[in-house]
Amino acid sequence: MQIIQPHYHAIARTAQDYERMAMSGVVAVAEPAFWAGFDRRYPETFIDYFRQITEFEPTRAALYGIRHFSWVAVNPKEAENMELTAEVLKAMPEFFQKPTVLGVGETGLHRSTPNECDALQAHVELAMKHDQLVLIHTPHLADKAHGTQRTLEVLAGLNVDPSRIWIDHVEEQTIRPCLDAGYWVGMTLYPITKCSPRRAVDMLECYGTERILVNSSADWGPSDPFTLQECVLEYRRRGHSLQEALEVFHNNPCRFLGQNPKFDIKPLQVSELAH
Amino acid sequence: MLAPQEIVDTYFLEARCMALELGALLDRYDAAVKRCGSPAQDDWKLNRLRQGLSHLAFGDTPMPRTEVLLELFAAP
Repeated sequence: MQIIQPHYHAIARTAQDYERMAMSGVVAVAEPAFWAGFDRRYPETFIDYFRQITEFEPTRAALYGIRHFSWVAVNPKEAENMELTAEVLKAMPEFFQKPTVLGVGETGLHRSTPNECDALQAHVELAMKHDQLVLIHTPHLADKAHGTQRTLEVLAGLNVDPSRIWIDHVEEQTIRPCLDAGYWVGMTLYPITKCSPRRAVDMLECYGTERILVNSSADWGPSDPFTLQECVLEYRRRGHSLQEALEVFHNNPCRFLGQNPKFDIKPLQVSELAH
Repeated sequence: MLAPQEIVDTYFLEARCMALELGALLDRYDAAVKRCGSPAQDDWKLNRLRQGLSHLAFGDTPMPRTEVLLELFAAP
């Protein structure tokens, strides 16, 4: 079955992951800019990082027949540094011109500080100005509900089109307000933290499949890109059809990411797979 | 061997994950009962799980908790 990994930090993963993903049906990944595990000091470090994910990483993925797309942003953990954030924001528009960049992400909140909220607003405003999609990270364990609420408040004060914004890492306590406000949401499958494949399927069964994306976990910490395939298996095991699985794990990413014409992979029907 | 605080800090996230999975299982069961209009005909497994959770929360026995649970989860 064709699968798209909508949130995949490829630079932290091996070529073997690409190979195994290709063998298990992954046709495309999208790589948001993220935290390197330490706070970067210089805007130039971000710019080289953006070059890595927009220029080099697509060539690595292509060796395995996987399309690689990316996003650029200052991640929430480093957005506390306002001077750094302002400089990186100035450099981002040149990357919007790259052939595989889909938008601004992952911006968002970590501790929901005033500086983080200002940075989130600046990122979203820049995206709207340049007609870019937006990928928003919501906080981890302790501040999840509050941080998601603050994110919705910040967005409510801006002139945004909710259908072009993806609020990521939702869980049971945060998915409903994000969907109700018209945004796309993402569920992120980690071995221990965030969501699990089974809980993600529970939420798909509870809320339906419209405007919902499912991501694996793929970074430098304890994570597993194949949690997405686990989720496909769980979804199918509960009796959902192959077409329904395609809608969630392939076609929904096409629908959201395809709002940027650079993402040219189209939704599939099962009947087309035989040809 | 680990100190008490180290045990809490080392295993909290893993235990949190297991607790969430148990909560999700019970929510999933309730949703299925609502959807199907009737509970499971043979529900001893679910009852034992609930008893086990209750024991973990409130049980105070000299036996290790794992031994109590293994006996509890043995066939009826």
